[in-house]
Amino acid sequence: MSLDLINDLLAGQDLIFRLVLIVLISLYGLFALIVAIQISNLNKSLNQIGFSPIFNALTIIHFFAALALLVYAVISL
Amino acid sequence: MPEEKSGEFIINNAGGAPVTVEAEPIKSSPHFYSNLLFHPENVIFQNQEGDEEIVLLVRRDLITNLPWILSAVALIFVPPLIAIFSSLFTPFFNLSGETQIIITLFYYIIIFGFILIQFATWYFNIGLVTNVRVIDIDVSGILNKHISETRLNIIEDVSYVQIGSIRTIFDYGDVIMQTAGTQPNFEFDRSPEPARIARIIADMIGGSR
Repeated sequence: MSLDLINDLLAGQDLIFRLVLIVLISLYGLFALIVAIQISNLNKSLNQIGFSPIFNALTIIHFFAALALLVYAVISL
Repeated sequence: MPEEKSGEFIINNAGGAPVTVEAEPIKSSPHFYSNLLFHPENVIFQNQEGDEEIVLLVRRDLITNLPWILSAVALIFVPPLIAIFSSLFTPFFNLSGETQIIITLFYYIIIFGFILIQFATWYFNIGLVTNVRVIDIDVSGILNKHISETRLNIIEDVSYVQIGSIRTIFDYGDVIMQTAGTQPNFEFDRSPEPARIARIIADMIGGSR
């Protein structure tokens, strides 16, 4: 019985990897959102007017990239 | 290297002693990689008072970013190396092409996040000297922020420390400001041109008394 279970797991490792990836990407997306919010707050503490909007844009792109990857990972299941 | 131009003109009166006229300080244009700015323009900070102007903006020397930059560059080349040696892993892992693409993209997003956080830690770790006070903003780990400030007239002494060959070659060190009484000392660590910064602050605290 245990051998059958191990065989089933090894046969479906792609699915297991995908599920683990989806969980990890979700957690990372949350982290990316926190980073974007924190950098936006830090830009209010020190505002270098020429660069702050660019920096904010980069953090938002980072968050949306994680989000897009999560959507792709879920859709392609 | 920021250019500091003289703020004085000497006018020769006919037959009289030369008169020194102080010109307006020349402002520096900040870039995202600027680590030392004199009278920077288009830079504002929280709780800035109406008549308060930034005289010095100090960040850690650019060379202090080298370790994480090299790490990021090395990490960028890891997926291609794994792809080259992938035949060693195939007996144990048998993943579809799509899953491998998702893993690779996720890996590069993490690298991008690592670069963002390391840059933000350097960018927001800043020392500001205004015509009124000194402000030290310390950011560690992106989620921890510590801001301390003191008035210029409380600073009693300013000195700098430059130890080691690397710091001497790249001309960066720690600028230490001693405050009166039980107030904690201020430190701009790994600042570029520490001698110049110390001289400017010393001139300012001399003038504020």
